[in-house]
Amino acid sequence: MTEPCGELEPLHSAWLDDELDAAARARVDRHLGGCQGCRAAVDGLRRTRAAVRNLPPRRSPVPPALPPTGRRPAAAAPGPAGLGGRRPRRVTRALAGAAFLLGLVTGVALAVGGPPPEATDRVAVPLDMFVVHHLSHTMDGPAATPIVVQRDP
Amino acid sequence: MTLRRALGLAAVALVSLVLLPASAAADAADLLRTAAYRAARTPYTGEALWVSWEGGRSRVVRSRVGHRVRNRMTIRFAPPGADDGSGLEGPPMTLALEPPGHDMARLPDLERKYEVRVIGSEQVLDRPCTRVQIQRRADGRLRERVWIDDQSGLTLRRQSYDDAGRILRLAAWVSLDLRPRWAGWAPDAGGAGGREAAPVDESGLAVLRSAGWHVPGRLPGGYRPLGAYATSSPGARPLQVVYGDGLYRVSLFQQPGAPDMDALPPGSQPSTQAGFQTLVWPGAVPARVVWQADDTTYALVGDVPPDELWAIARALPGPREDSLVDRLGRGLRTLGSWLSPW
Repeated sequence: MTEPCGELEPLHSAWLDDELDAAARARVDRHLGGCQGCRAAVDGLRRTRAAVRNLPPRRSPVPPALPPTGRRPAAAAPGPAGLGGRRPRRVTRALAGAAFLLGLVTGVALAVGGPPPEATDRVAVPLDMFVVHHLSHTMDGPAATPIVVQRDP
Repeated sequence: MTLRRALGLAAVALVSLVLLPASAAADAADLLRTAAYRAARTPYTGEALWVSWEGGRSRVVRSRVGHRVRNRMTIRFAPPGADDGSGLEGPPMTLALEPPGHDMARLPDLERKYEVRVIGSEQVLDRPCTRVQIQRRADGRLRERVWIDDQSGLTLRRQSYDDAGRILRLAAWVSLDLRPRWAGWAPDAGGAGGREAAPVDESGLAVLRSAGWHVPGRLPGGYRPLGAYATSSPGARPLQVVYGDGLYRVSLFQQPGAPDMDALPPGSQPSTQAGFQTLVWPGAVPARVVWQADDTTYALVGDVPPDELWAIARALPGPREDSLVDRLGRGLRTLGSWLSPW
């Protein structure tokens, strides 16, 4: 008397993979010898596995823009439990906005800053008179007069 | 007794050895001071020659000079175009020249910076002269050689040297008459006219400093302030501070505002020897440097050797480079003025 099919059916896959101990394998062997339906079921399972093994390897869908390291986009990184990843994104956006505003103000300020303003007051520099002033305080005597050779244009 | 006499002689010899060089140096400095004194008080006529070398070019001026002694010193000169200025080239320029010896040993602290030595005797204009050499104590660099007439005490020849020992300027008498006859000489030339200078004392300088005027208490090369003057010239009222090192003098002029380039004398050339942009007048005697910094126009005028002149200019305010931060500050102020309702 063989065991009922329903009790041995869960062992079919392990029987095919040769993962059963000796006692369990003897039980399945005895049942398959006398049960044509279970033999057909095991054959079907064997064919399915063979068909799966013969499939081509599956490629993972990598976006062409990402570097070949396959690093995940930062936005896809899981956030801490309970935060749901929403707050860091908001902070990042705020920082980016502030940086943009700062850059904008700096750029405009540099543009309107322009070259340094020129001194508005223009003064005469009477160098020849400076020379006379210099010599009058450096030559001997209370009111020395230097020799001045003036060359007219 | 003999031993005591020998010891005495040795002591005298030792004292002489120690004192003689100092005494000789003092004599040399005294010779310079006497020469300056005599130059201011001896009447003479003569013909003087000035030669200056710069950038491989020489400039020669030859002029008759007469000196009358009255209540004050007066130097008279033949007008240009007569027999002077024969070697002048380049743009028109005012050369202020001093007869040899008139500007020597003007300060009591000459020997603080310089070593003054008698180095021999020589004939100049067929007159026996004592040759004096002036060297900078710090590095022994030769600065001046001076020939002093043994009889009159006047300086007959003077040569100035640059930092490399090359001759910079020469002033010498070609002829000299110590019993002048004034027939044919023009009336006294008088002063330059139109100039006023009010001395500024220490308290006045303190006020000026606090008001933003730049009056250093010391300049590179041991130059110290000798006097300050609020000068007045047509179209300008600069502050003049005279600095000296015992031998040379330089005046620093400063006035608020930017220099009017159109009104500057011709012949200027840009120079960056001070580390910033300046204008110089090659061949000018005395040397002149002009630049602008912080809305102030600075001018240096003096007979200081070039290396010391540029060291002095570098120690004074120079034009500031306009940085990105300066430009940003100006822009932010402009933006603020646009947004401000006031």
